[in-house]
Amino acid sequence: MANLFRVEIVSVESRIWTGEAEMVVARTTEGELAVLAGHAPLLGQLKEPSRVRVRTGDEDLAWDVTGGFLSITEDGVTVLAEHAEPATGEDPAQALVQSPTH
Amino acid sequence: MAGSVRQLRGRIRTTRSMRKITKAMELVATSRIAKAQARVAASLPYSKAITDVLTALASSASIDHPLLQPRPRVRRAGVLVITSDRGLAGGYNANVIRTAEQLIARLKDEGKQVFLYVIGRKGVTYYRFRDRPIEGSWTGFSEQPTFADAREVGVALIKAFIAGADDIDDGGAGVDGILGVDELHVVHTSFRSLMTQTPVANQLAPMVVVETDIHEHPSGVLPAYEFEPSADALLDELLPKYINTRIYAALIDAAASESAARRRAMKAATDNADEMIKTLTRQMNATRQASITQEISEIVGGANALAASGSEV
Repeated sequence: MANLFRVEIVSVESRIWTGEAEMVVARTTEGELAVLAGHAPLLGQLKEPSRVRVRTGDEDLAWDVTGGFLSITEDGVTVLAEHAEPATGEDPAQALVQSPTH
Repeated sequence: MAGSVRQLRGRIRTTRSMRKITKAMELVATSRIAKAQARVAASLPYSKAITDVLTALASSASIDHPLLQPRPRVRRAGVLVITSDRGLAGGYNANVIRTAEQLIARLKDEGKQVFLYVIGRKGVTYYRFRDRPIEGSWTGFSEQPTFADAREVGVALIKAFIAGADDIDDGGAGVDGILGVDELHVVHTSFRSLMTQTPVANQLAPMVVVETDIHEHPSGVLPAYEFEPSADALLDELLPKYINTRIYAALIDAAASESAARRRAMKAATDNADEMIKTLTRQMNATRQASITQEISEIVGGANALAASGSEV
């Protein structure tokens, strides 16, 4: 069992999701990264549009995010989005592969 | 007499239907307050998160960003006034406009030219009626603003602010040919409680960098962040978003205040209607009773007169 850390996904108008996760995968303007527990503090701007995937202990969640930033601190991961909605499409991982990589 | 009773009955009916309207508006406003407050609460996690992020950034990035730097000479100031689209909200609009006027007077005293930006139909009407130039106006969302509305306003304001950077001293527009502003203020009504809403004026840009309490952080120092892309590029992206967030916060705060003001005004109107219905009903009953009494006394008087004349014969 991997270590868990706190994840918070907030949009301007509401808190979208908060909970414990094993891994967060997101794509910043510099490239894709996966965050595990104990990641070094990092602040990144997410690619536009962008899909954020969260693996909790027993399920995979994904959101499509616009105007997003990713903040990693020792307290956990915060995704700040102007707008976020649950990802549509079949398998989030598949959809990510298919999504344009401009 | 009978005519007067009918008139009174008509007035009671009118008052009663007005009361129905004000009562309905009171109930609608009451439910909107709760909704607006829920939205204020829902926006807090983001504004807290973006403040945290900016705090971390400010310690790493250079803070000579145009949105943070006070300009050496402020020639023009932009004032954003947030009013409502509809009236029937008591002194809500009058109060916020009065505060805006005070701010404008102060800015003019300091030798600044004022550019007006207005949200809400009531404010637009107020300034248009007085032939005051409005730089920008947005209407139709005062009761239920969305972030998209705030962003639209924010983009226009930031554009004006950035355009003001290269204006030359004698009032010319500078190389970009657009007259911009050197300061941005926002006047909106802040929701204190159901009974109190106070208009407040805040400076939006250049942003006042608040020295944050590092002691609040458990480890005593802010984490040494890595940045993707560079800290300065991130600041460029984040600051406009932060301003939009501030405008959004002001909008939802104003929406809650507007509903609270309207609820109170409509409650007062309903109470007045109740009072009036009571008075009119009493008046009508008294008039009706008076006419009945008079009719009886006329009949009795007539009968007595007949009886008296009969006995004399």
